[in-house]
Amino acid sequence: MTVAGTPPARTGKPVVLLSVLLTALLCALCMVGYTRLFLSSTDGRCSCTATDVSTSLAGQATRNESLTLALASITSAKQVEERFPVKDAEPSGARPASSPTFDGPAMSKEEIAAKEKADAHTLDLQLLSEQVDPIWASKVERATAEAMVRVGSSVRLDEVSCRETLCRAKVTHLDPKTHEADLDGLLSMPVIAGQAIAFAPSNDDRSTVLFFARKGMSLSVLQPSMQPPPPELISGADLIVR
Amino acid sequence: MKQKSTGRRAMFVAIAVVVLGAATTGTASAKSVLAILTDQNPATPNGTTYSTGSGLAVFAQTNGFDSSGVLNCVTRSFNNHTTTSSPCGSSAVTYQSFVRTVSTNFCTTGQNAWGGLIVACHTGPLPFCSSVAGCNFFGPGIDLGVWGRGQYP
Repeated sequence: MTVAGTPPARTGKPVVLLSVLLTALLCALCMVGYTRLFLSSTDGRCSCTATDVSTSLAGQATRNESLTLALASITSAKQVEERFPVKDAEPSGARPASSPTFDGPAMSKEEIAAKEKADAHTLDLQLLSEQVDPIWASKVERATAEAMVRVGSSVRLDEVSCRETLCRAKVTHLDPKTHEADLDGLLSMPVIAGQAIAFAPSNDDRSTVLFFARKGMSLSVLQPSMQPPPPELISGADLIVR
Repeated sequence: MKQKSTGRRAMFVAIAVVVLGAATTGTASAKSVLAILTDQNPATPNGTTYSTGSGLAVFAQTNGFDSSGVLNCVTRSFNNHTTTSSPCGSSAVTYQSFVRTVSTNFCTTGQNAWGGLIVACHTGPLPFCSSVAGCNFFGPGIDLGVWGRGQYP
């Protein structure tokens, strides 16, 4: 039997091509089925939006690039999540046309600043009044320092202090341009397992004081007022019974 | 006979490579995170947006983390069909969800492994303002929540 006399089909090339095509078709069908099966059980519109964006750049990011992309996206998202109209708000802080509107009793800048200052003071006092849980506190302080490194080189942890139910981290922002992204990175640290709140003590973008509660605990300043709401403000449309 | 055997072997290798490659790309390169803010209708955004008393928008967020705990991707949703996302790439392996503003986390879920499991948390009784019904002191059992997951779209 001579090799020269062997027809091309014997080499298997057409069969391989056919196999590749059939396998690719099968895989595509499987993926479509998977997508429909799992995504249709949730909200289609939101998942599709997320899916479209994620698949468009999927596979491009290296580890460092991924972080940059995520933080850049968060920063760009600022346009959508800008403060809703606030009394005395500057034009630059106005929401874009596509963002939701809200006409609630928003606070003035001065009122917001005063409340934040009071809340930070309250949490400072609470932290100082707590006993130290040496095991938990040291573990979370260490984890916070490690997580802060992962947030990026544009933030510097100046101090972290945990007691029994509460931690406080003082952070300096080395690059004001990345303040928004850095703040998101801080609030997204895996060490934060419950409520957390960030204050800007100097009313600029250079520093942040971050308080966060132990898992299962609440921040006192995020508890509701004990005053009952005015009856006219209660609407059945806002009620959720779980 | 040897030629025939070689052809079959080539076909088998080609199929194996294609199947393996498709499976790898199908599961590793197409990841995303999903976040839904829940209120009256926990399954579908109904257009009602929420804010704090100081005017900050409240949103649901789901983060994807890589194996080193580095934030890899984010999705936010505002309950009015407005969603902002960054791509997960292929390395996100865990995810976590929040109800938050730009400066506050009202609740945080635990971290879950990728693969369709849903995580959820709710804020507990807190004062929020609604785009349709003004500001309420949300009482016990009346709150905002998030559910999210990491998924292979």
